Amino acid sequence: MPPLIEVKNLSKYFTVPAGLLHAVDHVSFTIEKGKTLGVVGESGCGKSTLGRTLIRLQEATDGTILLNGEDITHVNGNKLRDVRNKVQIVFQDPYSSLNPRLRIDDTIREPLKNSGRYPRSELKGRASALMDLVGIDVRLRQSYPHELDGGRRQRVGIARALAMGPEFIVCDEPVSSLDVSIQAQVLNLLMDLQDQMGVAYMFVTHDLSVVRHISDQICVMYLGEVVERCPSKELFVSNLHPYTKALLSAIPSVDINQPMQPIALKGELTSPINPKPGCRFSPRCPYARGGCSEQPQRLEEVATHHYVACCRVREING
Amino acid sequence: MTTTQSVHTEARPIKVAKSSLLLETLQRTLKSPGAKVGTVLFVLIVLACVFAPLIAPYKPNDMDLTHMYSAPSSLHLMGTDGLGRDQFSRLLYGGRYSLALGITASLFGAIVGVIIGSFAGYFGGRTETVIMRLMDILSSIPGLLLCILISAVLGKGFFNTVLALAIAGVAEGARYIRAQILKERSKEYLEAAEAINCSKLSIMFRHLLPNVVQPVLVNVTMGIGMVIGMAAMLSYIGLGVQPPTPEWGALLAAGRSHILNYPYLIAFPGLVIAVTIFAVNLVGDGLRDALDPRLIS
Amino acid sequence: MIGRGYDPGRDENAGFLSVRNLNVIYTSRKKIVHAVNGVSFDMKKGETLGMVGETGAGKTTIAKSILRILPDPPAKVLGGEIRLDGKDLMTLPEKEMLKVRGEKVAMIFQDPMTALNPLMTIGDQIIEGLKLHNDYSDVEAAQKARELLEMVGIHEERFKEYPFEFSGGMKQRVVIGMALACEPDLLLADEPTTALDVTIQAQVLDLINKLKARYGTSMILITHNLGVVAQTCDHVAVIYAGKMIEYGNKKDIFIDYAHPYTRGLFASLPGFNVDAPRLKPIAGTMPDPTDLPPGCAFHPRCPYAIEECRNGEISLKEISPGHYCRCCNLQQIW
Repeated sequence: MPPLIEVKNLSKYFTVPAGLLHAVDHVSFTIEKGKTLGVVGESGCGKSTLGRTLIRLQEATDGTILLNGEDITHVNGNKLRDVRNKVQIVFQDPYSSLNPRLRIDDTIREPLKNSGRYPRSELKGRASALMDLVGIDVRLRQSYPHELDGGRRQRVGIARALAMGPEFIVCDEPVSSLDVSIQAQVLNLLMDLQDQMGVAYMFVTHDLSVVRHISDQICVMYLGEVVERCPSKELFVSNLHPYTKALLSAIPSVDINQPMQPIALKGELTSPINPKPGCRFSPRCPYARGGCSEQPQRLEEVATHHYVACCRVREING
Repeated sequence: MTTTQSVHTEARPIKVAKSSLLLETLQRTLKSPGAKVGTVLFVLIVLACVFAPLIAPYKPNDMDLTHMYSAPSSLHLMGTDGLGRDQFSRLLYGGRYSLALGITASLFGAIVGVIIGSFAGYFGGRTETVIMRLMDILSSIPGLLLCILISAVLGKGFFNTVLALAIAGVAEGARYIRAQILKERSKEYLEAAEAINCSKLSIMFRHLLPNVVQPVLVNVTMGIGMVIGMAAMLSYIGLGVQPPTPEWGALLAAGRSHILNYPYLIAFPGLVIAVTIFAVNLVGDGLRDALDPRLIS
Repeated sequence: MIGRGYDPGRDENAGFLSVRNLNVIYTSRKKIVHAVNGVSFDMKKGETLGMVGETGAGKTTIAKSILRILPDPPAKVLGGEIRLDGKDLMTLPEKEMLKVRGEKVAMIFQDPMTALNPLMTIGDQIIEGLKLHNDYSDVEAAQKARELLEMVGIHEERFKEYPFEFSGGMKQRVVIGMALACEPDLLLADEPTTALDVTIQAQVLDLINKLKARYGTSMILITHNLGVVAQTCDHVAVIYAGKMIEYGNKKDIFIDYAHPYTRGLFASLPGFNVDAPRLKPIAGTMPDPTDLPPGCAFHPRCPYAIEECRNGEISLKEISPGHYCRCCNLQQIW
């Protein structure tokens, strides 16, 4: 049984006046049916571009994407429409991801119509059922997006994604714009839906505490590359890549008996345009040695299911 | 033990959804006093012209040869011209042409402009470049001159004048819509529409356009005034609508040579044109304020 | 400090900053938004107070009231006293208030671009700020400006660059440096690191702590991030629907938290109980500020609500020395 999603050496480059921008570079991973891959990283790491490339809102420059064993990297036309019935996306900004002029029940009805699976007469009922599923009050179903708060708008976005009946949903920072207490509500919803419908997720976020809860495995990205990938619980217990260590150490903890000791990173993010071949993190890495900036880093399996892209991983972690 | 109530209902009172967004916009427009005045005036003028057969004391081409060039009197409210035709009646009937010209040409120009501009804005790349360069060429010729040119090529008469005036407005509409689209293009709901398998055309017309077209309504409204003025100018110089059609500009043109002796022949048409343009601009202003994004949401 | 009832006459000079019964509304065409509903607290010199709450709780309005930079209309300060070193800022004439802003009280915002002019070089802006509040010659100001950049960890050679050439974190550091260079007594920081990546946030928080220690500045840090509060603040005020519902020092709030809302906030944190299969959100949403529920504004969402919660004013009670909570049903909860 092939995994649901298999990504091999996926790259996405953009041509910009200054050269070639490596937004996503040689990324590989697999996602099993009904499981969640968390993708974490800070601004500029390419996680959003990765998500959009998987759902073909962008087209990959190189590499392959396999859905249930089938190559969907460059499909078009009707094949692409089929793919979209299986692979969907929930966006980050609840304010700009809904058409301000459509009532929310129309927004949800549209994908149902596009899927071509249901006769006209059934559309309203199915839209209603979806809104029940995501928890939108009956009295609000005729509203315009601007009449609802962020949390409810995200539920609409989730219902819209579910309407196509997907097996896999890219969740692009779905709770980052929401208040803390609402975040928990929406995360629970996503997890419930996964249990009920067996849908797999790629959960993109910069918030490590959120990703821990919802993911089965986690991928840490830096400047377009995956630097570490392992089962989610293991990342917090045994993190091996220097960037992951720095990232985790920087999270302000609510434990007042444990003052933060962030690992200081030198300098700023380097440019993703025409990057040099070596490790992209080396200019800022506290463990960098001479060879780091010359040797291209490869993801190596350092422990069971635990992959790290660092040439000094064993020395650093003893 | 005190009874504890486990309350888990929504704290926020549920608001019932409002009616259509369009209605809301119209309501907001009419809040401004200027828009109220403008709308009333404009509606009165339109109604007067529509009901011309009921209001006008004479037919527009009826000649009263006993009262040629007569000054305004109880018999002829706005005087008569050299052929004894009642000016008031001619203005009322003429308004039908002028208003029709104004509204049709303005709408037509805007619609074509919007469609062209949408393709340019949404598809970008070469499509955009080709279209926008064509629009640049079109708008490099000053508006009135362009009208004159097209009118001279197409010939005189009502429909040709509508065409000439519409074409002049296309470039502006296209450029405006393209600018609006460039701003809106990066919004996620458009990507979302693509992700749920909406066709490119459906995204353009069902999702993108409704969200950018509102400011164009302002242009269309103000455009009516401008077109009426331009039509008048065309007639004035001998193009556009021709006598005996009592279009307002034609009336102005006819009265031109008698400005010293019979000033009322040019004063009344001029006044009516001015008031109409004024009313239309008031409504346009009110609409623009109503559409101000700061007030929406 | 804050007494059992609000008695503005008592403890007037207890703190360096003393806010009493602040009440602010926003008027829109038909409705009145009750943004701040009777907030009182004190601060000692050199202290850092964390103001925690979600969007719309009223925290930014409180800060802007201290600086008197609320646009009037639509905002209207209905009442209250804000004393800085004994002087009531609410009744100060505008001419004197101008001297307070920037010199005695400074504010930084979530988006550093609200303070930076995109058309001026960073160096020029710092110089301008310095000369506004000090009597420096051009040469002195330029020198101080370079020192300031050094102090916030930005290389001197970036002196002549424009804001667009700086990253978000760098801009925020410049803004913080500019705010503190004039050595204000009080710094108001409104979500200063919310828009920043977590590693950059760590750098900026570290910088703020260092500068505070160097200049002895008091600070009110507004945020919704409990982690940030834990790492930088001495005291914490939890704000909900324009009222302060809990106040205490770090230990009171992070270990002995009492109010159901505070409990709810902690319980809903994803990092809180990692092994639980589901998170524990607070049910419902924030109340509509134009239509606040009667009695305790939190009662519709509160799992411990009783009849009393719906009636009248719930007052702030001191539940242990220095730890205050606005809840009438605490005995049942514990």
